[in-house]
Amino acid sequence: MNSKSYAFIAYFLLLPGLQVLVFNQFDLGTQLVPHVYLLFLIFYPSNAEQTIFLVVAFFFGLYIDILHSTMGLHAAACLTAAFLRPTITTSVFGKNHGYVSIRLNQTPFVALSAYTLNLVLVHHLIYYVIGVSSWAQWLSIIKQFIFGSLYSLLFLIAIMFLFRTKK
Amino acid sequence: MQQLVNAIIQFRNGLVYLLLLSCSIYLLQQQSAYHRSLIAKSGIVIGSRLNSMVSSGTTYLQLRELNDRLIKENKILLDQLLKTQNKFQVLDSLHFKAIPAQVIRNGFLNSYNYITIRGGQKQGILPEMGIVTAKGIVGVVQFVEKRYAQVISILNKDLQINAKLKNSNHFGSLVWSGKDASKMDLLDVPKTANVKEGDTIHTGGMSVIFPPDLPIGYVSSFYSESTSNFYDIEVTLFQDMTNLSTVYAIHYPQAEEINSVQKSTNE
Repeated sequence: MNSKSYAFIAYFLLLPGLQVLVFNQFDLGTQLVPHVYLLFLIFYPSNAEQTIFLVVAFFFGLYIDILHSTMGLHAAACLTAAFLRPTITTSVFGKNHGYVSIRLNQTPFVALSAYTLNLVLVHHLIYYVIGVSSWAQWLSIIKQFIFGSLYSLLFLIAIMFLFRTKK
Repeated sequence: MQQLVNAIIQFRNGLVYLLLLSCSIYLLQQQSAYHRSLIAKSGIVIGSRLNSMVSSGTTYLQLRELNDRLIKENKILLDQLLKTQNKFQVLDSLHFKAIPAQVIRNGFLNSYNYITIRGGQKQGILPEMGIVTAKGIVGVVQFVEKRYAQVISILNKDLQINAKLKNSNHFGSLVWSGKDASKMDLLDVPKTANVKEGDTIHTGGMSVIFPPDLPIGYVSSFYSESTSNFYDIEVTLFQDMTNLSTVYAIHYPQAEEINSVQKSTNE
């Protein structure tokens, strides 16, 4: 337990609250909400034990589910995003990256955005495919997936851009 | 044996992933409303606090709009009152009482939707009360906390509501197909009924949940297979389920008595 893990415990507890209190208000009418809590999965140390990360991501999703009363929906999406994160990191940052954490101020911004895009796409694909009520709505699934991903990505990149300090 | 253990250790991430994924899908696919409510009940304690904080802020910003809507609702209610006062003298003993409550969370994207309202045991809301607005029905109370209650939305595949055609008094059950938040299906209406597009659908009053003759929606289309004796009617709701603010819980004093009578006849 170092100071960094305390910070992540704080993020774990605070981000879902922030999501409900602030970012759910940016509703575009048809349940299109920026899923800003994904910041937790994006910046979770990538050199940490993957198995523990999966469990943490699952409970993180479940915690958000409790706040939204959609049991299991966010949990499944977060879990899948966490499971595919190593694949995304290697494809974006290259094989040698594996042991370096993703840091807001040190990682190149374009690479960080590409990595965020991939993670958002995986998360939203699962979120909309599992969460939708029937397959007859496949067109609306695709629409919501595309626009929901773009909307979340816009918020995530804007937040990362704002909090990035220039050296 | 050693190799098996090694294999498990090697693929532990995949196994943990599959295990947790099936956990979450199991939670998501819980068909039984009872089990679902057990989990949701723990959530409502934290969730409703947070949501009511949000909604107290947003309702303040929407006061003007809310006022307009309330005035309109009042007008509709007054019209109904005047219309029914002469007609239902006979049913005087059936006095329903309405308890106002605020919607603080409203789901309509999933196939099993729930609504959380501010208003609970303190206000006199009990499980299995019907929730209505001036324009139509909203749902049925599932369980009640001190100050909050969870409502099964009519946009929930588990819920079936008794409804009838206004003109002919033919009964059917109203269910949601899960496709469109503004449409529901009225099933099991016999072919002897004379159905036309635009006919009004009312609550049937066969249960103590909703009072009889509340408007629900109108017939937007209907069809029937030649082999079937029943119509499938598509109903467009009067109430926009994606935009709810003040709702009313229907308290029916004799509910317990009627339920116990029904139970004893079933046994």
